[in-house]
Amino acid sequence: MIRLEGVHRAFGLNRVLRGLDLDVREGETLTLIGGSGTGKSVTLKIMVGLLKPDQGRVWVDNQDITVLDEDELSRVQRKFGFLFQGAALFDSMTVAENVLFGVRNLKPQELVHGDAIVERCLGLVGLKPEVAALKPAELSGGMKKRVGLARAIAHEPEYILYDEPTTGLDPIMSDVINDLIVDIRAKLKITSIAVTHDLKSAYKISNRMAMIHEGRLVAVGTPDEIQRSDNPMVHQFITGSSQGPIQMPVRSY
Amino acid sequence: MVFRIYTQRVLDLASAVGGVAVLVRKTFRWLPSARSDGKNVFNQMMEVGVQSFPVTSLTALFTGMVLALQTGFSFRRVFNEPLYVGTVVGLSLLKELGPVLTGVVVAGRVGARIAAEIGTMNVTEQVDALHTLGTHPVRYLVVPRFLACLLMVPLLTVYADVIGVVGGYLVAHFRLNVPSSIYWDEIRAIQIEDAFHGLIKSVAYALIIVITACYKGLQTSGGAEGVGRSTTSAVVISMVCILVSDYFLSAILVSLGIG
Repeated sequence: MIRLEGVHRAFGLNRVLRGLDLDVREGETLTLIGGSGTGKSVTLKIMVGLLKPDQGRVWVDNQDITVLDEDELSRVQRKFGFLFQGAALFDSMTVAENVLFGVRNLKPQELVHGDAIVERCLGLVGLKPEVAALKPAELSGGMKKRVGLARAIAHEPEYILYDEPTTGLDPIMSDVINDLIVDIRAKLKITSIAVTHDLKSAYKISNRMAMIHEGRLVAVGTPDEIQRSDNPMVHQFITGSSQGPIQMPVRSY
Repeated sequence: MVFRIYTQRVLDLASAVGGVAVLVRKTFRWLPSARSDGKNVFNQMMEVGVQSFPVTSLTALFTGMVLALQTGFSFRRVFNEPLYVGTVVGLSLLKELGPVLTGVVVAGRVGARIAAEIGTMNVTEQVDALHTLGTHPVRYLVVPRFLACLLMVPLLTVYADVIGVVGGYLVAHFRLNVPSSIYWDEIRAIQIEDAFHGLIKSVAYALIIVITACYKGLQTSGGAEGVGRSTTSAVVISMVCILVSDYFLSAILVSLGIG
């Protein structure tokens, strides 16, 4: 279980999060939606301890990670798998070395089954074992995301975080990634938190959706509840209208 | 307004000094982990040392040659003989030019590469990925480069000293007609403390280069432009620090009777 209580975070004068409260329930897939710059990705990085909040508390399995030292935080971070927006694969390593990187550090005793782990994880994301010998530069955008996902699940985390899992992919590949996210939750029973602008993806993968605007939670509910929400901000966002309470600053020339 | 700008600059400088101190502390903390990361350390040693050999050789060879040429002609003008060419070339290279030029070459080649590599990893979230995959970035990225620089820069300096002295000999003997025995006797007369003087400096320069480059890399933000900025500033700061610290290191070492 992950809980954020009154989380504030600023970058210079830019106050990104302004008292965010959020609960993530065990076994669910929660999707964070909202406009650009509203603090969705920052929220994800605060959950895993990559960023520290300026104020507020972050609980992971009843442990406040904002007060932990580096070693204790590192032990909490082992519970997480993270699919980064650009996959963040290590360029100098092969796909197999990327997939096994976390296992090598977190579960070195399992390295004797390294080939089997690579094959199983690549299989889970729909890639053939032959891909294992390739370098990230030889992969397409969709394949990189899949390898990133294989790497994120290889050390069998309790939580998996997806930062814009379908951004930059064509609609078919986006749907393939959505299916993978649903499939992985079903097979591995992992609690998942995703950040996306892609509403089709959000409806497909989520048990619950939470909308963030100006650093605060404005709505949370099942995909059905969000679609039927009478909150004008939620309505404007899901209909993609430029007219409404959410004003995007547009510079005129 | 001007006061605010200068205040901010002082604060930024203090923050950077603090950041460097924290990075050094973390590097020493993770140093023992290098035992299990031998392959990575070896790869970095190849990159820092072996790959820098050609450019270091070329720099040292021509520095030794030009030193011998200038010394020989200057002394011939004053004393009518090219005296002390071996002594001047040997002492200049061992105590000053060997470590400083090697430091500047490594700062330009290796410092830039380290800052660009870690900076790119930072802006593409690979550094964040290390955290979530059970490795501290200082352990995985900084410690191997730190050890490689600390071991290879002094070795490169010794190598540069030797190449420079040979370059000096070529000019002294074939251009200035200094007898071989005189040149090499002058080189052999140089004290071991003079060589230590240069070696101690080279260790200090290695520290400056690797810590500056790693710090700048880990602080990189803002995409490709940010990587370019970090790379440039890592090289410029390293070179300036090498040249400035050269004076103070020389003063300290001389006062301690080392060279």
